[in-house]
Amino acid sequence: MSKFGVKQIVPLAIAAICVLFIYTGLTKFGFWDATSGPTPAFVPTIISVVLFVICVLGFITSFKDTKESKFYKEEFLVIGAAVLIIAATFLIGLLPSLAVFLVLWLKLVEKTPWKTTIIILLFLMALVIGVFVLWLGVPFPEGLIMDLIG
Amino acid sequence: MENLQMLLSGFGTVFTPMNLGVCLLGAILGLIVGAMPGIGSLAGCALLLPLTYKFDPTAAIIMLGALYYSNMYGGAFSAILLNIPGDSPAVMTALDGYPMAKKGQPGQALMTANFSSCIGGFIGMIILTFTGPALANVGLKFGPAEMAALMIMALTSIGWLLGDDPIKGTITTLLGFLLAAIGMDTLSGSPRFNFGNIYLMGGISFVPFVIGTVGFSQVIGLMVDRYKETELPKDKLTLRGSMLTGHQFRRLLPVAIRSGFLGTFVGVLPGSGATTAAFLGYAAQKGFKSEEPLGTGAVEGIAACEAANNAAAAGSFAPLLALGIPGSGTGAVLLGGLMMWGLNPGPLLFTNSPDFAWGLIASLFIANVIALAIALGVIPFIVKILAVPVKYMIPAITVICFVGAYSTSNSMYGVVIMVIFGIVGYLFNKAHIPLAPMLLSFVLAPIFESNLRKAFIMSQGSVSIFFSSTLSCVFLGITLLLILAPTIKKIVRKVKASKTQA
Repeated sequence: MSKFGVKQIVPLAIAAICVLFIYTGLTKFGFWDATSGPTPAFVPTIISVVLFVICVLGFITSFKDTKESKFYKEEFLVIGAAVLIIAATFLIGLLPSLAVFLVLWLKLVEKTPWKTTIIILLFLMALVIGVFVLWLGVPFPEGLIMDLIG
Repeated sequence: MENLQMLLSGFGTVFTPMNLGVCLLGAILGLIVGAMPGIGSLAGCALLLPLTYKFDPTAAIIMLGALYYSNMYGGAFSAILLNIPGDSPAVMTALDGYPMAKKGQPGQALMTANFSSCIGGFIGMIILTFTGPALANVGLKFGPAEMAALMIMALTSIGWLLGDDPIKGTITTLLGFLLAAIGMDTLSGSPRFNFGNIYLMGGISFVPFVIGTVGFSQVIGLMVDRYKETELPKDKLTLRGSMLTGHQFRRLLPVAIRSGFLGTFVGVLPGSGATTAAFLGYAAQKGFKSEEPLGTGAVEGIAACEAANNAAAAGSFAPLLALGIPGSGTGAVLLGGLMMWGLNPGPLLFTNSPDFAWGLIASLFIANVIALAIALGVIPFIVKILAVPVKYMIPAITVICFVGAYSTSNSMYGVVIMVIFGIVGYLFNKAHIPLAPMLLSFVLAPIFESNLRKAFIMSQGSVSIFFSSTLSCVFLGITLLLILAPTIKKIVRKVKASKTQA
């Protein structure tokens, strides 16, 4: 029997989402309209009920699951970096945030030599600016600081 | 005959500098992405989806089709040289490809894979030329009840095929449905399940969702393996040194033709795909004579699975275009892309947008030739491509995920969605829950829901409409069989075990 972990948390979390869908669906839209038939909540409610039952089953059977689910510290570094990039975007914009992320990641996490770091930075930034800014014309956010200066 | 004429007109559509250029670009990118271990066709297509915004729908889907198709070629490279399949269909290729490379014939192993892929692909495409429109003609007879029943059948088979645990497969499939319900109601157009959030009124954007679920989650997972040493061939690979002998070619040809037909049949079935075809192709080869035992570096082993997976990739376009049912996660990304550009795959596609449908089929033929040429040309450089360290790919793919997710909506909402679903995908991977069924159901949910509701409106709420036609009864019967299959298998296994004990 496996310990309580992600294999149990995932079905429980999805079951909670199902409850939210069933509640919202039934209170806001109803299930069946006498004149127009199935309401917008008809299918989502049925799916939620079935999914809820299966999640409960999944939760019960998950304790028999012997497959390993190991988490590693390094994996959370990527998630942390992603959150910091989003936060930094509001200050300095998306492209500068990604450039700073690249340099910091390669230097601090991977201990990459400066030469390789700069080559990767220039290659990726040229690719992103060339394809997304110049070719596709995507207006990337410039951030609070650039807005203040501009 | 009419089909061949339409195919020729499709070639006319593709033979523009722009379409040939995007086909070439897709083939090159697909091969590189497929060859790099850890990315795969699903994440590759998802990451490259934003690049297609600049093109018209025909060019965009030609690029994605070429990308998907050449990915099948690329997946074999790392499977043969590193014993790390670039993609799930290449798992079987590694069984004989890697031992053959170890025997000092890495170039010949790659050549076998490339030529078998090409032969299998052509078989799949020729059959697609005839089955696609035929399937669409059958589809034209479908009413909402038949269509809903077909979707249920396809989704059931997908959930079962892509995971070894039916409960997990069903959870992820149904979750895709719920996520797709957020935003606008398909029939009335009114907002629903946005929980007071204005961003959610437009629903969950498809591209950031896919990039996060399969791309960013993979980046997180790659962190653990980033320092893993890979043993690359020491000798330089040359094109001349990789050539197959006449005897080797004669060994691969009948196997590739046989597997090509088998793979196409698997690919055309709604809900199956290249991975299943590769497994079946290899399993079927066990029943035939091979010069060397399978698993020891046999040419027949590589040819069987490579021809089957490429044939299935081509064959899977038949249900995708004619019925709107993808056979794999990558198929779902292609379908999502089609819908994004305003095209509705289904029985009417061949009638309403023949230029597009036939252009795409013709582009697959061209992509097959281009992919083979690039795959052969890349052999001398492949070791360098495979030598790119994973530790550099992690920040690089992260950057592509961010800019790709932003560029779809020109808003940070896309980026937030990408990161959230990246984390969800990562947790699902840890819980051993398959992700591809969620993408499939996310894409199919609006079509399924509108058909189901239309059927209920027509029948004034009576379930009998689903049993009033033979077709929907057949679909529902197969669905029931698919649901019961794991239980039946268990019972059979138990009976067999008790018999052997006795």
